[in-house]
Amino acid sequence: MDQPKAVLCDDDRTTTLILKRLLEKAGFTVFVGGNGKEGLALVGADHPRLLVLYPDMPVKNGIQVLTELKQSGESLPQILVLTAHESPEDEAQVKSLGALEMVVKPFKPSELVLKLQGLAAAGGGL
Amino acid sequence: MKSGQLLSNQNQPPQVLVVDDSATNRDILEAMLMKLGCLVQCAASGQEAVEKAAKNRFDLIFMDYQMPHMSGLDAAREIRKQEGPGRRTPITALTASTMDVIKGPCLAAGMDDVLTKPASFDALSANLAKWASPVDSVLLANLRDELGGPGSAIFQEAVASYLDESALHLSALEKAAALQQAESIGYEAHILKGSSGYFGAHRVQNLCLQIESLVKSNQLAGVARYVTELQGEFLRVSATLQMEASHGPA
Repeated sequence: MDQPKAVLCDDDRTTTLILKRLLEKAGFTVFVGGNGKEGLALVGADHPRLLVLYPDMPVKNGIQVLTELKQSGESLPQILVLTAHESPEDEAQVKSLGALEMVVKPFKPSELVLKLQGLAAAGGGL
Repeated sequence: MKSGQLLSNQNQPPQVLVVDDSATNRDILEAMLMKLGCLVQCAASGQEAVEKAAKNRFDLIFMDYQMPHMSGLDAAREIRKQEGPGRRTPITALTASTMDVIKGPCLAAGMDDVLTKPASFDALSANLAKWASPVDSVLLANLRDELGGPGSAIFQEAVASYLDESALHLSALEKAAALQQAESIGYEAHILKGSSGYFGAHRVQNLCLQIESLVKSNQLAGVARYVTELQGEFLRVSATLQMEASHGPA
């Protein structure tokens, strides 16, 4: 069976490296985009089951990514948004755009990977 | 405490200043901190704390919030004023008041953290681990365990990546500060603050936070001083993490 795919979209390479390695260990094929534009391209090309997105990025930010994905009418991956600080308003906004969870950085890696595995399982195949 | 109790000064005990107008409180804190392996000096007033901070290089200051004549807030402000570039002694406030009310004013006065009085042995121990070394040894040990334990290739790779990336961001930050480019300064400080969180580099995070707030309040002239501090602090973080990644826990 094909390995589930995940796209990580964050300009902080430490975050993406830690998550990439742990998700690979958990059986995912992982693609990394360093800004929103790269992230969108990866989602379009690879149809991942999971998308992990940081809102505050150069070139194209995470909110623009969510908006474009929603407008595309394609079936969405399971989306988890990382954030630098807790904000109920931001959480409501990203959820209205299709994100399922919001997690504050720095996250506990093992907990986040468990959460992502749960999301991927709930989402099934694409 | 977990491995590598105080990674920073290797074999040197941390030097701690205890500031409290109550002799009983000073004695109790001093005894607990000595038990934790610290070299402790005490000050009975805010003024005495300011004087001692000028003459000594402490790794951490525990500062009573409420004292007569010169409060903990005023003493912290004075200490920050007299510290030159490249130096920022962590200050933890001790307070009997509600944490939520006190924390904002403490951070605004230049303090780094707040503990509720009476502080337990465990709370002091954790605070020491958090501030008296460039990286929080408890948090770092947790991260290493999360990434596969001692000798984990992922941990070593994460450390190497963080150090390489941070050096680039720091250099970009320095350039942006010299050119007074607010947006770039804010961006570089933000990204450095975020990744430093994984490794418990709290002092680096605090300095980045200060830079971000200077940008937000459009006080770009003040940024350069913090960048200098940040560079010094990052060198210490780097030395500690490299040792930790290559040798594993002490």
